[in-house]
Amino acid sequence: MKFLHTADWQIGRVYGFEGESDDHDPAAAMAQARYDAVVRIAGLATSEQVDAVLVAGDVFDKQALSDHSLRRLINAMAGYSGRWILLPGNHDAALAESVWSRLQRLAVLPANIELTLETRVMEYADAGFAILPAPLTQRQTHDDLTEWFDTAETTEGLIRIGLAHGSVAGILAEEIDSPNPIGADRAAQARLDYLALGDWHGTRQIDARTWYSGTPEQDRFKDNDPGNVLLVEIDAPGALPRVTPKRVGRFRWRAQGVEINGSSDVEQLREQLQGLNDTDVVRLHVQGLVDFASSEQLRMLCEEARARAHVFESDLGELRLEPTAADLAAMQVDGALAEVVDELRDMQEQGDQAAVANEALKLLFDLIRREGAGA
Amino acid sequence: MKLERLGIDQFRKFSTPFEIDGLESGLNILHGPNGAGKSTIAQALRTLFFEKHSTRGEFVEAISPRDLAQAAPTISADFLLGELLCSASKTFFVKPRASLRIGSETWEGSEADEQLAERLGFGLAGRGASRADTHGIPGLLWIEQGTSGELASAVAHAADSLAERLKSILGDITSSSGGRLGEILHAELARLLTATGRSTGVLTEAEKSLAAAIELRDGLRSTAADFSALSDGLARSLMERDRLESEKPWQGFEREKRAAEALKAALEPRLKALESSRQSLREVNARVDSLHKETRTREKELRELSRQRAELNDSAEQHQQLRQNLAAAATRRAQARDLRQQARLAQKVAENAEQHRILQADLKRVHAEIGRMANTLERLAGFSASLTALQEQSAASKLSKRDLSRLARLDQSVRDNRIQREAIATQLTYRLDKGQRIDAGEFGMLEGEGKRSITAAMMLRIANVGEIGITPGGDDIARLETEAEKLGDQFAQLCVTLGVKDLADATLRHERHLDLEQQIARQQAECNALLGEDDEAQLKRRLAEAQGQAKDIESRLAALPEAKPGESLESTRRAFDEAEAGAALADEQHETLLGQVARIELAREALKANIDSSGQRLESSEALRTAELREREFAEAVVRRDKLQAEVGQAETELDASNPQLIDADIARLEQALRLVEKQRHDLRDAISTGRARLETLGADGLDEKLAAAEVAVEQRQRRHQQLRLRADALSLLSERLESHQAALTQRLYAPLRERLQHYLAILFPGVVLSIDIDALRPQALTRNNQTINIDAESFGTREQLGVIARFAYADLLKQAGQPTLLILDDALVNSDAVRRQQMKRILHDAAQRHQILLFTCHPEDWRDAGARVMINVAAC
Repeated sequence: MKFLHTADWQIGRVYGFEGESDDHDPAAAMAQARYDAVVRIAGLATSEQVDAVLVAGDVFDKQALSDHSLRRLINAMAGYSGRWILLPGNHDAALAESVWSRLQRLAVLPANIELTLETRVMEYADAGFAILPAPLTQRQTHDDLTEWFDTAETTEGLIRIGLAHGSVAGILAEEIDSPNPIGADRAAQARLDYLALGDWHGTRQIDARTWYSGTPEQDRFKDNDPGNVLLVEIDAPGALPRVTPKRVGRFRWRAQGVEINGSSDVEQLREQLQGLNDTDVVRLHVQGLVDFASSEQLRMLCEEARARAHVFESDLGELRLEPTAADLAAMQVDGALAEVVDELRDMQEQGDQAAVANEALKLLFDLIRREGAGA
Repeated sequence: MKLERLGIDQFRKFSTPFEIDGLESGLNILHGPNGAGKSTIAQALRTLFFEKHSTRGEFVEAISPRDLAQAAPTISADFLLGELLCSASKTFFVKPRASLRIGSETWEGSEADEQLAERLGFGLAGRGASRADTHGIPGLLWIEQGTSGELASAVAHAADSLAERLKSILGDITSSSGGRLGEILHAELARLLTATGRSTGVLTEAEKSLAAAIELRDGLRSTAADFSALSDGLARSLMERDRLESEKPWQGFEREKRAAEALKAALEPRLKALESSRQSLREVNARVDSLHKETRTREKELRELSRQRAELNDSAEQHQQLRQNLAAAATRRAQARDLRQQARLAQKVAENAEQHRILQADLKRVHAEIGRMANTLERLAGFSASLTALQEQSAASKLSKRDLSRLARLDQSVRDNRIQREAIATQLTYRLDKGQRIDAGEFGMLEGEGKRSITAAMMLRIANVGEIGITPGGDDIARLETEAEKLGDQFAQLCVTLGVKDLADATLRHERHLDLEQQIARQQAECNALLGEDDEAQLKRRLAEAQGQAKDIESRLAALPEAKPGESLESTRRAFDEAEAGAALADEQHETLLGQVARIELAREALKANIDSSGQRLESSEALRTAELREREFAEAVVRRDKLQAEVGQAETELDASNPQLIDADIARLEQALRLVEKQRHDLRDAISTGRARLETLGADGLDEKLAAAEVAVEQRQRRHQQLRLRADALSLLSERLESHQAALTQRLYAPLRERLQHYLAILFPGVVLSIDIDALRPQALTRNNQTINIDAESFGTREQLGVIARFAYADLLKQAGQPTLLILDDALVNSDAVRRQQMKRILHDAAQRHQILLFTCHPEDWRDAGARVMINVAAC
C-alpha cells in the first residue's frame, strides 16, 4: 500500500511580522500559506494515487477557530477525494467540546474525511490496512496513549499502522514527565508496520518504522528540516516501509546571528543575503563594532534584503557604532561635543546604560551628519 | 599703548590751545578742582579716537566752546603702539581734517579714522556721533565718570572685539560646538517628552495604543480562560454522566426498596388487628370516663341541695330579727312626726307676734306723718292772713317810681329856673360900715356885708343920701319869671294829685311801699320753704292717703289673732328644722328596713322553690334507680377496659420485634436516594447541554484566532513603544550631557580670566577664600567664605571696585594677546572708603606695572601714595 504521512498543519496560526507599509502584510500571506500547503498535499496525494493521507495531529493550531477557517480547510482538502484520516493532537485535542465536535456539527465533513476521535481500531479491508489511533482527549496527558496498540487485535493480513501525536520518550523528550509521551519501542512492541507521528515540526526518522513527518509549512525559526510530507510505501504486512520525504512547503525560515567587524564582514554578509527571495523569512541578529562607513553599508544591505525577502527582520541593537578618528575628524566633532561622545562611548560599556548610550550615539551622529559639523 | 602728549584747541572748556605733555607709562594722576577741565580732557581723548572727523550735527554744539562762534575743535595726540611712535590729529566742523601716523606709515581723512578704530578695537558709527555700543575695547577700559560699576553693558559692547582678540588666550568661547545641536535635540525630544518628562506626541500615542491592545488582549484572554474552564467543566460533567450511566446505582436502590416493601406487606394484617383493638380500647376508655363524670355530677348536686336547705334555715332567724327592727323603726317615725307638728305650732305663734309688732310700727310711722302734714297746713293758713294785710298796706302806700320821678323833675325845673334868673340878675355887692344901712325896697335893709341878685328894677335908699335906682338889663327876665310861675303851679298840682306835701314826702312814701313789698316777698319765701316741693294740693292729697293707710293697718291689726307672748321666732324656727330632720331620718331608717325585709323574703321564697325542684329531681325514686344502674355499668366498663389493654400490650410487644418503623425508614431512605440520583442525572444532562451550547457560541466566534491576533498586536505595539522610549531616553541623555559639557567647557575656557580676576581680588580681600562664577565673558557672582553673592547685588562701592578690577583683568589678558591697553579712570573710585582705597592703591600700583593708567581726580591728596610716576595739576596747565 501507499499513503502520505503528514502532521502539524497548525491551521489558524497567526504571525507577528509587520509589513513595510499598510498594504504589505507578510503575516497574512504566511497564514494563507498553511492552507496552500494542504492544497499541494491533496495534489500530491492525487498524483501519487495513494490509498490514504494520514494526518498525525495538530491539524488545527487552536480549538476556537472561526467557522470560516474550518470551511476553508475542508475546501483546501477537496483536491484529493481519497481517504483523509485525521488525528487530534495537543493543539486540537478531542475535548468534550472541540474543533472536531464543531466540524461535525457544521456538517461540512465529506465522507472521505475520517476523524479518529476514539481509541479503537479502524480497519480498511478494501485497502488492506488497519489504523490504530491514539487521539489526545486532553491538552496534555502523562500517560502513553499508544500503550493499547500492544494488545490491539487486527484482522490477519492487514497492515497495522499506528497514528499518534507526542514525544517519543527518551529521544525527543528531555524530561521523564514531559507531556504526551510515546514509548520509544512502540512500533516493535505493537507489531506495527508503521508508526506515523506528529508534534515534532521537522522531518525525522525514529526507527525503521517510526517517523515524524514534520509540518508541511514551516512556522518557526528552527532549522530541523520542516516543509515536507512523507510518501510511505509498504508492500505487505511485516515488510519494511519505504519512506520518501516530499517537499511541499513554501517559506523557509532562517534566524541568523552575524558578527560584523569591518567592511570585509559586511561584504561577506552581502553575499549571503544576495540569494534571498520572496519565500525567505529571515531574522538577522547583528553584533560587533562598526565605523560610520560600515554602518551605512549595513543599513543599505538591510534595506535591500528587506525588499528581497518575504520577511526580513534585523536586530542591530547590539551593534556598536565605533566612529574612527577619521570619522570624528570629518565631522569636526570637538569641544563639548567630543566630550559627550567620549562619555557615551564609556557608557556603552556599562550594561544597564549601554542600549540608551548606543542609541544616543547613533542619534547624535545622524544629527551631525544631517545638520553639518558646525551645528 | 602709551599716551605721551595730548593737545586740545577750541574744545569745550578750552577755547585756546591747551596741552598735556610728559605722560609716562604706569600711573599718571591728573588732578584739579571741580570745573578745572579734567572731564573735558577725558572727553577730548574719546572724541579723538571714537568720532569720525567728518561728524556734524548736534555734536558740534556739544564739543564747541560756548564763547566761540564758528569754532574748529582740534585734538591731537602723540602715543606709542608697541615700539612704534604714533601721532593722531582731528579737526572737526569748519575744515574737517584727520591725520594718523604710525611709525613711518601715514593716513589721512576717513582712512585715518578707520585705522585708529582697527588698531584699538572699536567700531565707527555709520552716521552721526559714536554710540556706546560701538566703543568696543576702549569703551570698556576708559571708564567715564560714575560708570565704573556698570560692567555688564560695557562688556557686552566690547564682547565681539574681546572674543576676537582674546581667542589666542581664552579659545573659542562662543563656538564651543554643539550650540545649535542642543536646540535640535531639544526640539526632537519635545516631540516625545514634555519639559517635565511626561510622554507626549507619538510616544503618548504609542503608549495609548499599547494600552488599548493590552486591554483587548486581556479581555480575550479572560474569555479564553472562561472557555477553557467551561470546556473542562463539560468534560467533568460528561465523565460523571458516563460513570453514573455505567454504574447505574439506582437499580440497587430499587431492589432494596422492593424487598422492604414486601416485608412491610407481610406485617400488614397484624398491624390492622392491633389498630382495631386500639380503637376498641379508646372507645371503652371514653365510656368509663363519661360514667365516672356522671356519678361525680350527681354527688355534687346532692351536696348543693343539702347546703341550700341549711341556708334556708339560717335565714329564717335573720328574717325574724329584721321584722322586729322594722317595728321599732315605725314607732320612732311616729314620735318624730309628733315632735315636728309641735314645733310647727310654736313657730306659728311666734310668727303672729312678729306680724303684730311690724304692723304697729308701721301705724305709728303713718300717724307721725299725718301730724306733720296737718301742722304744715295750719302754718300755711297763718302765713296767708298776714300776707293779705301786708298786701293791703302796700297797695295803700303805693307811689309809683314814675310819679316820683315826675315830681323830682318838676322840682328840678323850678330850681333851674331860679338859678337862671339869678344868673341874669345884676349883682349887688355891698360892705357897709358898721351901723350904716341902706333900704333896698322889697329886698329889705342892707347891713354889713352881702350881695344881692337884682332881677327887677329897684330903688336903693340911702339915708341922708337919697335914692339910687337899679334896673337889670336883658329880655329873658320876664320870660323866666313867667315860666317860674307856671312851674310852681304844675308842681303844686302834682303834689295834690299824688297826695304829698312835697318831694320829700313823696320820697318817704315810696320807700315805705318798697319795704312792704320786701316783707311780702319774705313771707312768700317762708311759705314756699314750708311746702317743699309740693304745692298745697298735693300735700293735702298725701295727707288723705296717709290717713287711708293708717286705716288699712288698723283694720289688718284688728284682723290678726291676738298676740301671745312666747319664744322668739328664731328659736322656734331652729326647733322646727331639727324636728323635721329627725322625722326625715326616722322615715329613711324605716324605708331601709322595709326594703331589707322585702329582699330577704323574696330570697327565701326563691331558695325554697329551688330546694323543692332539686329535691324532686334528685331524690325521686326514679332518680335513685337510674343512679344505681349507672354504677353497675361503670364497674362493667372498667373490667372490659383492663382486658383490652392487656391484649393491645401483648400485640405491640410482638410487633416491635419485627420493627415496622425501620422498614418504613428504609423505604423512605431508598426513595430519597432514588430521587437524588435522578436529580443528579437530570442536572448533568442540563449542565452538559448548557455547557455545549455556550461553548458552541464562543467557539464559533473564532475566539482563539482573535486572541492570537491580539497577542501579535500587543507584541508589535510593545516593540514600537520600546523603540520610541529608547529614542526618548537617548535624546534626554544626549541633551542633558551636551548641556552639561558645554557649561563645563566654557568655564574651563574662562580660566585665564578667572586667574587675573583672582589675582586682583586677593589684594582687595586679603586672606579671604574666593571663587568667581564667570559667564558671558564677565564675572557674575563672587563666593567669599562659602557665601555666594551676585555681583549686581553687591554694595555700590564694592561694585565700583569690582568694575575697575575686571577692567584690569581684561587689560592684562589683552596685553598678553599683544593688544594695546590704555586705562582711564575718571573719578572712578569716589565711592570707596579709606580701607578699600588703600587696597585699590595696591591694585592700581600692580596694574600700573603693565599698563599706562590715567587717573582723573579732584582729591590728589587721596592718591599721593598710589605710586604715580606723574602728577599733573590740570588747573596749572
